[in-house]
Amino acid sequence: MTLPNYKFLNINSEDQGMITAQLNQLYYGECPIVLNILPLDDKQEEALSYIEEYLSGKQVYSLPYPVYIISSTKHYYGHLNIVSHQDLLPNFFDFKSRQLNNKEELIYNRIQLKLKNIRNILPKTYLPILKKYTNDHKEIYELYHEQKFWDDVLSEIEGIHGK
Amino acid sequence: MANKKDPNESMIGFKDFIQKPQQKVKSSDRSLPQNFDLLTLLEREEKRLSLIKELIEDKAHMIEKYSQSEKIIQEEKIKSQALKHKVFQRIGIKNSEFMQNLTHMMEEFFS
Repeated sequence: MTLPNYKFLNINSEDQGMITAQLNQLYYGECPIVLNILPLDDKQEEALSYIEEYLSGKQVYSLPYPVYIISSTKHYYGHLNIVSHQDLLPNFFDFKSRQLNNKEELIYNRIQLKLKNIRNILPKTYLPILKKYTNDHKEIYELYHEQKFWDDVLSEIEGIHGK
Repeated sequence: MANKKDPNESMIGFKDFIQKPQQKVKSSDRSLPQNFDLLTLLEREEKRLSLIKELIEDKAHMIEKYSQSEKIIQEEKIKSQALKHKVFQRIGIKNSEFMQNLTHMMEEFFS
């Protein structure tokens, strides 16, 4: 029985083989996973690229459970969820597991059923659609900001020189 | 004549309380979910998964069939282009105030 609370894993080596071996131990999509690469200090960016490569190769998605990485790096612009400290992880999955009673087990079973359902339908058909949808919205966001920039420039010019 | 009471006498019992340095209140935000009933957390999780399922099954289908993104992107691009054109029109005219100011500033700076 896996409750959907955080599972932590400390990455101790920047070596690609070691990282792959460590990441192979985890079960993705069953609970949120936190990879701590803080002990690697200045080798964190190297480790991040290996982790990114591994996760995209294994087709690990943010749904239903995300993978978070605790890292102090400030020069990462990829799609991984990076936080600088454990306290910054979302509270939602932060709870202690214990033996479930009957009522809780009933809900847990329903959760497992829904998870199975999501896992079955997610990668095959809907992930490309959701990916396109998110990319489109990122583009809209960027275009909106560009528009706002030109709008500001124009109003600044009009403010100085009149309409 | 009434005896003057020692002001410290009336404070007996409260002294420790007053003099004791105030303890800092620890933030309990992080421990909040742990105090929650596990049942509540599981119910929340079930709700979250239901929403994801709904997004995938119902909304993704709508997004695929009737996507509005491309139209919105086109509109935003046109608006952005129009604004850019307006800005360059304002600053690009030979005798515009902007150009005059810019020429004046350059001349002052480099002469």
